[in-house]
Amino acid sequence: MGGDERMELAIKNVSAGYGRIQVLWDVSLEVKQGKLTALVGPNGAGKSTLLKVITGFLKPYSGSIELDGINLTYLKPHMIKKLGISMVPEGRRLFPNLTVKENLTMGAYFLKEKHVINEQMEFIFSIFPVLKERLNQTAKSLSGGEAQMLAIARALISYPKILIIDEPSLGLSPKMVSLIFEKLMELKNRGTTLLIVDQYVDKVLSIADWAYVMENGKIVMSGEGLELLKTDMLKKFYLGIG
Amino acid sequence: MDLLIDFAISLARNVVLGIMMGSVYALAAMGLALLFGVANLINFAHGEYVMLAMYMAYFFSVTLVIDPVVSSIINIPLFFLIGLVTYFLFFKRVINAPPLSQIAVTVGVVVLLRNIALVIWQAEPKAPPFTIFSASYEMGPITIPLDKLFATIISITSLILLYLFLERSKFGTAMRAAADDVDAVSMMGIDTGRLFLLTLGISMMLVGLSGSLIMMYQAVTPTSGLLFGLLSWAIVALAGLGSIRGIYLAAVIFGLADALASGMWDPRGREIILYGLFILILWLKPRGLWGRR
Repeated sequence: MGGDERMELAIKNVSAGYGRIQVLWDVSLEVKQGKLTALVGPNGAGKSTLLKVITGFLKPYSGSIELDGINLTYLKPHMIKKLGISMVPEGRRLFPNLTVKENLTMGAYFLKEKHVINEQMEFIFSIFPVLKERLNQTAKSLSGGEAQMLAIARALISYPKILIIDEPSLGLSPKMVSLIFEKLMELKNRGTTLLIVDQYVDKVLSIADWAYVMENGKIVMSGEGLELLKTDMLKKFYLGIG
Repeated sequence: MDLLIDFAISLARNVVLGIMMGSVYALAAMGLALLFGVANLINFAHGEYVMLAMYMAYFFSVTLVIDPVVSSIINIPLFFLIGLVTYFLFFKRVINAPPLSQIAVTVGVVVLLRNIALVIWQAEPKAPPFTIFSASYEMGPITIPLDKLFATIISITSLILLYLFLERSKFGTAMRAAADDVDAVSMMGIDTGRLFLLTLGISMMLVGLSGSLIMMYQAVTPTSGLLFGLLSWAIVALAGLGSIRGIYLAAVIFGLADALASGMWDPRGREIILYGLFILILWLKPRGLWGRR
């Protein structure tokens, strides 16, 4: 450790796919502690597949996933969560018939001590005060933005080492997208380690410390978020300008 | 005039009986609904486990000389264990499998259990020879047998306890969460294998209890599973998943249909009415009356 940046998550040479259809080709990626890392790329680039591999829902053909030197590659999803990787999945995947409070309770399921859970609840409400007002409403009654906040809160409440967010802006109005990105900035400033996958390339790159660009199942570019934003290739492919 | 009064008394008697029978059926149906709702497991052998529970109630009441109601004290933990064993033997491998594999495996269990029952207990109906609650309670012209009243009270109390468990406990909340989205539950750091195992255990506890209580009403044969399996599926189909109250009301509707068909028409007409009702429900309301999905 020493004065070096501590590495949190390391994905090493991962190849993966569904049966014979290979999707990821020798993907390597790092997420550093306290940093916001972005993963961008067009639809079908393999971003979601990579997240499935990280969270244990898909086992890779080869390569490894390590968190602080612990090999997660062959662990089940619930063990990976317990070791500190929380994910906000695409489409949020809230429990629609459970209340906001019950959704949060599920997020904090493996926290055993009551005072820790209460502290984490207060921490969540300090970031997302609206959830406190909605505590006894069912998740399905929330608006899109509120639901996204609940999904982030549910993943954040277990005090993860890394928070992965898949498409935080999907299906939200531009105003809500701005609000969600403000919240993500706030989390970053509080020291949360983040890995964000998004289609809003310009928005996510402008707040990312480091970013990876994925295409056809391979990492084709990486660099500081703002630097990447300036490159011609990215402008051409994803922003439709230049 | 006398005819009318007789009819009214007979009707009232069968309505009371139907509500009491429905309360007991609700337990068996609830076991099925839990397993289907939480673990997405289509258990065609559910009725066979009810049949087995009835035989065990018979066995304990004869060998230990106890009332079948009292046999539930043994049947509940016994069937919890049977649930755990069943999970590892049969269900673990098919819990994430497509419905067809689940049907194939559980139908295999049907054949297995039915033939085990046939070998051990033969085909003649078996009924417990006695009850400690031989007295009955007179409510005007309607006689309420105390044993059946007691069975009703136990059923309703159990359903209330189950409701409190599902609503108030963390594990119960996880079971409801799994009914919404199983993959998201494992993303919460919850071992879904363990969740399914315990859900099957709880489902089987309900089956064990319902088997003991159904013995208050009728004898058991190796083919009783067919009736109680279909009855459970019919109740779940009528109620839809997601509400204990819905299951209870649907079970009472079937209890009433059962009692009225047997008591007012012809005991042999019972199954015609029950299955006819089942088909009618699937036809008119495939999602159930109170289902949330």
